[in-house]
Amino acid sequence: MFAHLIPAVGAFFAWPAPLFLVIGVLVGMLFGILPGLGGPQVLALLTPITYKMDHTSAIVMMIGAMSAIPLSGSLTAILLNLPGHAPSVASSFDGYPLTRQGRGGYAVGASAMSAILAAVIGAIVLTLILPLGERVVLAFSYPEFFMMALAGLSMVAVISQKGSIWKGMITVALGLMIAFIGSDPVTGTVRFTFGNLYLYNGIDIVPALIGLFAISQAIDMTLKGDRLVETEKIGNRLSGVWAGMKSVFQHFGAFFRGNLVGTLMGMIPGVGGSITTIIAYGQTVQFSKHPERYGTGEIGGVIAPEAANNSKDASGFIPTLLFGIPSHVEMAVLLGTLTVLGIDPGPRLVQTDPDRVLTVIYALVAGNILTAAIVLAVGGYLTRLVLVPRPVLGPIIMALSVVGAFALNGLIGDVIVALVFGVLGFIMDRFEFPKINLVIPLMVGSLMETSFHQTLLAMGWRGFFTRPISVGLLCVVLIVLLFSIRHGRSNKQMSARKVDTVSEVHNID
Amino acid sequence: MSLDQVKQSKWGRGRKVMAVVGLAGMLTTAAGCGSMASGNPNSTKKTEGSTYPQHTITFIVPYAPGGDFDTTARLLAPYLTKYLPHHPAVIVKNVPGGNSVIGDMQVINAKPDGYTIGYFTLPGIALGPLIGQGNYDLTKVSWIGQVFAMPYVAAVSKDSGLNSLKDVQKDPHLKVGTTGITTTAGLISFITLKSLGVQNSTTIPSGGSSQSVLAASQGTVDFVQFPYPALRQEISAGLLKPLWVNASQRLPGLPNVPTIGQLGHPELATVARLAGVVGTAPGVSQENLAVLRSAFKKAVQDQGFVSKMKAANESTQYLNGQDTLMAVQRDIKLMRKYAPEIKDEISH
Repeated sequence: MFAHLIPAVGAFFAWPAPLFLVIGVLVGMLFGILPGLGGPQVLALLTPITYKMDHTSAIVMMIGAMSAIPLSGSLTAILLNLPGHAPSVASSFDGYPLTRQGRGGYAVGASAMSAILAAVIGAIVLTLILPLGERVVLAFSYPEFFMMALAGLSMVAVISQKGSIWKGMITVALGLMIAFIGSDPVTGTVRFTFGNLYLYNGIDIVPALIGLFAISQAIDMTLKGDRLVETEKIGNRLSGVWAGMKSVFQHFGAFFRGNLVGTLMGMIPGVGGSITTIIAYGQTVQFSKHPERYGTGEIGGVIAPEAANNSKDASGFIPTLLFGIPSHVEMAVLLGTLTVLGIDPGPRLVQTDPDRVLTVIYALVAGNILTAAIVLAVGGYLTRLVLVPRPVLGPIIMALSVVGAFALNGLIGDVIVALVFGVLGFIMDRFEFPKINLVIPLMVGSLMETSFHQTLLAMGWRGFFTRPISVGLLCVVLIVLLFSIRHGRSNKQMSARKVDTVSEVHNID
Repeated sequence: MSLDQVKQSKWGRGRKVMAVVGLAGMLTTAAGCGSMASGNPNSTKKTEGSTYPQHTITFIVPYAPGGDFDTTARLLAPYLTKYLPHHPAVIVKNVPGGNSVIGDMQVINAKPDGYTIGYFTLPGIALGPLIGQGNYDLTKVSWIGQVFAMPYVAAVSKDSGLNSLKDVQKDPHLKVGTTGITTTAGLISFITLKSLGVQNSTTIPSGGSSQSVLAASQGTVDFVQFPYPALRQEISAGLLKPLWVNASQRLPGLPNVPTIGQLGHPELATVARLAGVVGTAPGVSQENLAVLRSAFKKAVQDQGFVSKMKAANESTQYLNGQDTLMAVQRDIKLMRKYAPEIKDEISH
């Protein structure tokens, strides 16, 4: 494949492919920004158009659209606390507090820079390990899936260090209960549905997220009135973005670990992007010297999940191209299109069709860079959104949320779920129940349950403890929990040491 | 670039512009509850028949984007437009959930005006009402026809040590990978294992066919049965070994693999397949149904569509509306036979 690296660049830049890259990226960004709509929808919509296009342009357009989703989804997560797609939710944990401090440009700059770097590194990694990827994909089975879900769940202990432990536990339990709604993935038994057909497939994470974050936010804004930020707090819009871009290099550890998590977990089909970014966020908190600052506007909390968010898509091509097994829903749609376009996934694809594999990889990098460039160009202006009076912004977010929840599948049930979770989120905010603790079990619950059953059926309980990767992951989970318990204790002893905003600590101009 | 391709890409450019313009329209449709399709009831009634169809037809796919049904529906839609009188836009709408019942209920409960058509999965959809999951009568649906019917291929993991149907039947600890028992793949796995007399097996279900295929490639499970496209890559890579095909004829892609009939169980040949059939609401007028059926037949048999399906590793197998109804009735009869056992299995 390496002999084809240079010639493939020429093919990639041949007119009209660059034009379709731009079209793909723009459409992708639109879908990424709108809550509810995301990768699967934009790709499904673009698919019929590709049937009549030349192959390179078609591939480039589809990949361009796909690569624009993570960053544009995070843009609204950071600026409005409105995750445009599910994996972006982790970027809002610290990104939105930054926006509220008038430093949205800083967060947007950091997230765009993370995206560019993650895409470039992801592409290099993908090119290098595609020939070897088969082993990695085959090494992960049910026990490893379970351990990864457990690792995701253990992040609850790391992320929510503040507040009452009982409130935290109650929320996790509630989250797990909600995650078990619907038909049992293994036995087919239907649970907690009250005979309602909509609930058979369980609660979809996207409307739940829209409700918990965006709608609860909109209710709060409408009730409170006033602006989010005073005008004088918003600094020069460009210097903020620039400082954010530089911050990725200052916090390179956070970026690197986020990238690593994204690359590894992206390769494993069936794990899901949302858990990936949550784990990336959690490990940054874990490794930080100041975990108590996270959630109040720590830039590492934006960089790490963004790095994971963008690198997971690159490595997600490994199972998709090698086995024809899509790593997530977007890939499933993309796979359908790629086969129609004559890319026949399989272990020998890299040898038989290196040019087109490289076109895919190049398009991914170019799409990410183009998206980041657009975000950087408009990001500074968009941060002024927070100047819009809250009673105006609230209803707009509300309308976007409801439309987004409906647009997802065209089901009114999704809208009801979003509204119910909106009220729930509002109540949780009021009484200081941590919302992250509800989100994480919702994301991992079903994977955890299914893989637990499957392991027992296929290998018995020994399966968890006799496979090296599974045991390794279990050790990681135990270490994480041990550290959190120790840390929690020392925190209590330190009693109340309060950090209001990150700017007090960092002094970044 | 051949002359043909030049022609295609020229035509394609026009279509691209249309599609981009259409994008905005589709967004509004998606957001606006498909209010376009409902139109004015009076005017529809008056002009029914000769002027049908007047506006957009919605093609409901009861699954999320991606996968056989979504891909084939999107390939078919432009050909339906081509052969329907007045060339209305045919828009694919994904309505996932409830094991395909939610989307199909939308088709069944739609206004019987022929503007909502949808995909149904055989034999899976026939089971629902028999085990209390969904309340619908498939024999009342106005059937338009069948697009494809993919036979299930039985394959084993390369490390399983199994080489034949006899080995599978005799294996004391056969681990079977499949999807949930109420899905088509799960049902076919259940029914075939029963008929073949495999008794000492453990079924390990997963959320989707690709996960089961991966598990078999890893050797975590021994035995899987899925339509050929789902197994093709792994078979050609040598990770899976095909043992037989649940069809009356051998598959062109697997010329050396025997059919289940040749192995002494011809009754499974017609049952164990994944069929995509298209229907519209019960009570659609005979004129409109005839229009739909004739356009559907031409679309499915169009050489362009057939070759696109081939490129997507799908295949076509046309059946007319009447034959589709017969296939539905046959599947319901079969499901009735197994429903009590399946119900039992679920309530464990």
